[in-house]
Amino acid sequence: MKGPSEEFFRFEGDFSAVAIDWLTSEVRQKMEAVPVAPRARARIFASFVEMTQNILHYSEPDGARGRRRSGAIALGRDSDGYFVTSRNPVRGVHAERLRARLDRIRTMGPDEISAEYRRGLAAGPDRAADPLSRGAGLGLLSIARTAYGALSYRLDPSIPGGGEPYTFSLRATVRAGESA
Amino acid sequence: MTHFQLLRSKITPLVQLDGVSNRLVFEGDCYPENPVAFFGPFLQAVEAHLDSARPDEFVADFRLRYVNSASTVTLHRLFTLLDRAAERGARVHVNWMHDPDDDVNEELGYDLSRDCRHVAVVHVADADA
Repeated sequence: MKGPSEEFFRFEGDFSAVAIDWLTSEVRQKMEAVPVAPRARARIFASFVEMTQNILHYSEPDGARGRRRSGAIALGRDSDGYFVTSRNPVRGVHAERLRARLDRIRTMGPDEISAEYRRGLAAGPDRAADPLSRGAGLGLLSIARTAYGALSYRLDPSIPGGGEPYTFSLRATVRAGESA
Repeated sequence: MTHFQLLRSKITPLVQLDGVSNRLVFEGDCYPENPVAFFGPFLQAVEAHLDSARPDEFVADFRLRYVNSASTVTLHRLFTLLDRAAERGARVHVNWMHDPDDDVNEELGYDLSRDCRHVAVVHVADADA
């Protein structure tokens, strides 16, 4: 049974208008104030930035509001340690890509994740392998690598039975000790 | 002589190439949204300097805090350039300094070193990193 879950940081709204340096400064201050265990801070921060940059890159702009990219990101504490969650709308094509990628990563153990990360690092930004990726396809792997246990995610269609945009939610658990 | 510098910002590190003392420094946070564009000119300057000046000795100091995944690819390219210079005969020293509590950064240092055949990378746990 899960113990109580407590959020200590949340940002929700228009990510395109937010300076990432402001958001990340806030998170670092918050982790000191809480305080988060020193050995968990770097891991939480890493997942926080990767998720934030994913929202900036892949969140489906709200047509009615021009190019604005909205989403939510939160940090908190629960019985497993700490968690980092994000939520944002994505187009169908990105939903499929995320599902394929996350389903694969979720089957991998820590050593496999590290090995795949190192292969990606050496290969560089290979757009041919994943033309939709704006990074080097390393973002989700790096989140998985710092997480404890498998990443969990949801892709909820905007209308029952399917339909874009999908709402993509991602959650990583972080512990102060060893990963995996 | 080559001298290249990018000033530190909240999300990008101080980046320096001193072609006179043959030293390179990376210091601070490193999570630009588009690292390929951001670091492109710097990588070109390093490559040009190593190719043309052919220094006997070269020192690279990395004192980074958080590095986003997209930037790690750029760092890997930089390590490849340094390794190539070492292969041609330069004595290249790479120092990777990380906060003792930051095992993400520590692991990145080892990942980047893995493909280096000619450069010895020194890993230092440093509370001031």
